[in-house]
Amino acid sequence: MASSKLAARSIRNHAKYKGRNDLNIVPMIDMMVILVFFLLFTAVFSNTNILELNLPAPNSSVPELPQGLQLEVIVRRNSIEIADRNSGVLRTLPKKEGEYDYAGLSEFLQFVKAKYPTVLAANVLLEQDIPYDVLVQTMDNTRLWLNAEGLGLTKVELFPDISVGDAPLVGAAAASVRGGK
Amino acid sequence: MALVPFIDMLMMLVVFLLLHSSDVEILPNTKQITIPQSVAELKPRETVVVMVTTDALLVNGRQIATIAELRGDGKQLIIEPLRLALKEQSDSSLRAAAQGDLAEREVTIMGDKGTPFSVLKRVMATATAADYGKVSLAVIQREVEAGAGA
Repeated sequence: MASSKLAARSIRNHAKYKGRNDLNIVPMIDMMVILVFFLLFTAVFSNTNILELNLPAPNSSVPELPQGLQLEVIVRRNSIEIADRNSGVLRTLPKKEGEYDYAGLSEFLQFVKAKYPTVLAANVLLEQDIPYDVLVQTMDNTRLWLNAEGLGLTKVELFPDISVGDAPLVGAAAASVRGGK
Repeated sequence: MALVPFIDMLMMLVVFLLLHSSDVEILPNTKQITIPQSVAELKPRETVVVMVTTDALLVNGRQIATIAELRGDGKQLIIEPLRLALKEQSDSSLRAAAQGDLAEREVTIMGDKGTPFSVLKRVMATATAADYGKVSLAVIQREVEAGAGA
């Protein structure tokens, strides 16, 4: 029974495809279209990366301040200050047209890096209501200098060990520590 | 046969999309928040994710507190519900190898661009208080072209 049915189907197929010697590719196209749609909907076009932070352990004691440069980048509401913990403010970069002056920050940090090539650590200190985006942009400019000169783009390391903290207050308390501003 | 160019195009599309979906996505999707752009190149690792949206605080997708609550509870630094949630995560989801080693525990913070530093600082302080040694910030990769300046 079964063999006769098979034979009949075989005869029918032979009749159907008589004279046609190409493959039936329609099912393959179906599968490919499904694949394309599946991949399109699962595709991710933005890469998420991470920035590592340098936070002290909760129960570690205050470390002894090492000698030399203690670089601080202080982000205030209206300006970015670059300071050394021991000697005070080195440079104040006011906001330009409502935007922080990241180019100026990068430029001055390159100058500092040229003077102190062995220093890797920097503290980024922020006032309370500075948005998160500003923190990330400041960290970027403190970590790396994107050198667009010459062939292609080179990334020059500036101060990759970044700690984050509160900005020191401006006012009487700060004035007594820093000898006025 | 007229279908051949069509198949060629489909094949190219499939290959292109396959290549672009090759890297596995670890961090959750970020439709509700805009995270900042950065030139950082480190790939995210499998960690506990704390998400700070414009109105809520989530740990691995579960809502812990609202931002309004955080603003309300005054001056204390540690966010207690977040600390408890992080403790719970470290007890359950972390790999056994990382359980004992405090410095190996990691938390990734995904924050909205506009999150004020005061909130972020409290989240970081809480993560440290909940015995997580490493804190990372999630960012979107920025395309930098040569000649754009630093």
